[in-house]
Amino acid sequence: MTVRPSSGSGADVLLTSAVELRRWIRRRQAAARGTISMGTVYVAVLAIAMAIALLGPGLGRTLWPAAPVVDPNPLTIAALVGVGGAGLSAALRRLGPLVIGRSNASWLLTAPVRRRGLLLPALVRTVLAAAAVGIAAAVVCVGRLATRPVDGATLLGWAALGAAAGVLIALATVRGQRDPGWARRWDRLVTVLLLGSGAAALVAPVVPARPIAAPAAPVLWTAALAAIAAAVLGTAVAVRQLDDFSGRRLRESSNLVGSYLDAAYAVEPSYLSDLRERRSWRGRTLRSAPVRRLPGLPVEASHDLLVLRRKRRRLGWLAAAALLPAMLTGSPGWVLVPVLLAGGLISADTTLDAVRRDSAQPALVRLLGRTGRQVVAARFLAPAILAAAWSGLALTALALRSDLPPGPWWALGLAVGPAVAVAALRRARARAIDNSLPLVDTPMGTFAPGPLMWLFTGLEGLVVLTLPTVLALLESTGSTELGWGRVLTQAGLSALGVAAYLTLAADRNRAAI
Amino acid sequence: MTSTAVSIRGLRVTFGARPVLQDVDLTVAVGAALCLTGENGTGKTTLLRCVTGLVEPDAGTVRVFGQRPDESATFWRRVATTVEQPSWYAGLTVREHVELIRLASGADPGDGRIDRLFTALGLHPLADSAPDTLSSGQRQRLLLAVVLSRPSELLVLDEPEQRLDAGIRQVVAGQLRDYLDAGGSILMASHDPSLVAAVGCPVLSLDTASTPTTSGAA
Repeated sequence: MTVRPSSGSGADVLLTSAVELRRWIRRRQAAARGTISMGTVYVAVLAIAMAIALLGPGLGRTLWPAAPVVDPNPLTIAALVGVGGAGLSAALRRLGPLVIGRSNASWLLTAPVRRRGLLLPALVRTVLAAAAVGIAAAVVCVGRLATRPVDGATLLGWAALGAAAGVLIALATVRGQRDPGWARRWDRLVTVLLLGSGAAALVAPVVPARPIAAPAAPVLWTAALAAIAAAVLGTAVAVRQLDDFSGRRLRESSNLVGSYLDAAYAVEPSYLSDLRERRSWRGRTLRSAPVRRLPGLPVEASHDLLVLRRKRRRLGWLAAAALLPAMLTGSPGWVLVPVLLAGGLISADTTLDAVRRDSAQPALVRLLGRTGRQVVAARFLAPAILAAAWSGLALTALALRSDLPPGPWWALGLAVGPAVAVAALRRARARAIDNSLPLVDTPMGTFAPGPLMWLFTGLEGLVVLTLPTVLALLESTGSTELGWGRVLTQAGLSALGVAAYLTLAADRNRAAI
Repeated sequence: MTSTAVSIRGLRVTFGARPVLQDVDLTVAVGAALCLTGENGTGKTTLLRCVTGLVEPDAGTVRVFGQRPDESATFWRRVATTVEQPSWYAGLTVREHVELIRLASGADPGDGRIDRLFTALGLHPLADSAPDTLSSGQRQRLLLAVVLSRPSELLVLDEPEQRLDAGIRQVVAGQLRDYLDAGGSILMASHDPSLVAAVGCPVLSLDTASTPTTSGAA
């Protein structure tokens, strides 16, 4: 192994070649673990082949239809590109994006190894993945929008532009990981981009905009070459700056991704919510506020209100996201229903971390001296209000912007909120996955029912309790007017669901939930 | 109204094939204290967990204020314990946790009791911290502040001196004496003879006696 002394001080500090060190570790790990068996390769290849055979033709026709979309609205295209870029940035920022193995983060970050050599593979992985996403997005855009026939040079030009754009976004997130100040500015820019894209998508159908012609080949290639040059230059700068990376930030993202992989490997996603919540609070500076009883409300309501005050940014995002169903105007009911219910569930979940913690370990409930039913009923208030407000706003916006049949859609949204909150509460109280259940034999092989049952906890009841709203959305393409009868049915079903849940699923004596 | 806070008769707990507690008898009168001592593994924590209903004994009876510890909210309004380390709420500060617990017990969190406890236990500088960021000793002080801040009739404390500085241990002993003076009862386990002496409570050693019959009434 090559070692070379550092220059300068007389201290015996040795810098080891990271490349050789990684190679040595890889060899030792391969020797210890053995090589991948042919059986594993066979299963992986077969799974990929089956996925392509099953999904490939349909997906291909959707992404690259025989004829392009007629006269696409430029605002819609801008919105889609904006949302795509913001989504890629958010995903990279959430994952790191530079990540090394947890064992490497523990041992090599503290070893006298140059960061650049250690992090270069992670940077290459990130850049290549972002370029691949950029190429895929560009090819899909060309496939759906370009006039036929599409010539190879044009496709290549757009693919190059997409790849360069992906790389530039990845480099910006790498810089954000290294420099928190830059990260704040970048996140602000992405937020503006996302909100602008949402606004563009909202106004696109009502603002007449002339379709824009595709750029000529020289313009496209000039833009692509400029973007590639910027990406190459940016990559060179990023490589030079790898030595300045803080070990703490690398360890944090490496541990996070390691936990995600653990959850995937062990099929145990139940603790990811706790992980996400802890991460969202880490680094926040809190100032104690007086905890006082709100008139007529249980003590847990004061706690939830405090949390809501501290999650103002999330509330802002949820309010903006309530316009999402309205952006999907014209979509069939089976698209609108999951979007509406998922939005309601996510809104309701804003304050439910306390329930997750109390359910896993009720020591604080015991110290509070409250019964399970008292706690569950109190913790239900904030989610019910949030889910009702979100659903009401979402259905109001949808009704205003789309050709939904007339009727009190806002009231239907408010009425369905408590039913959604019950489902969110049930999910928050779900225990860890039960892997002790007997395996189920099917013609496709055996599978463990535990993860599936965990996944559907709360959702099975949701379908029943929200049936009037689900049916109203599924029938929305028809001309059946939404009547107050449907709203009252939903309100009644929600009330019944809440009453049944609090009566049957919450302990009225024990201090545990 | 019963004059006995804790009454244990013929308590036996076995983990697997290993007996942890065998035929333990003890009594703690209302307003009195008893300290369990003994080497690691002699069953101090297990006994405290039986008293709080967190462990079901294999044999024997456990009564707290004449009732079986049943995990009910009524039981937990009378009993406060440090036997288990809570999973603190995310997004709530140290001070807010203590205020929440005191508020839930029907007391006024702004009546100065919490301020006095924070001063005594040196928690003021940590008031705005998140519990997850505290050291183990600081978390122990927070837990003691929580159980001492809320009204209760029996404290069940598992090594309250654990991970605390020597100075703070004496403060804790003072707080426990005040609790006894106010009419409360205490059942605790400890490895610190100076703390036990400072609280001034009788001792029941689980080391030697396989069938200890000593009563801990004061």
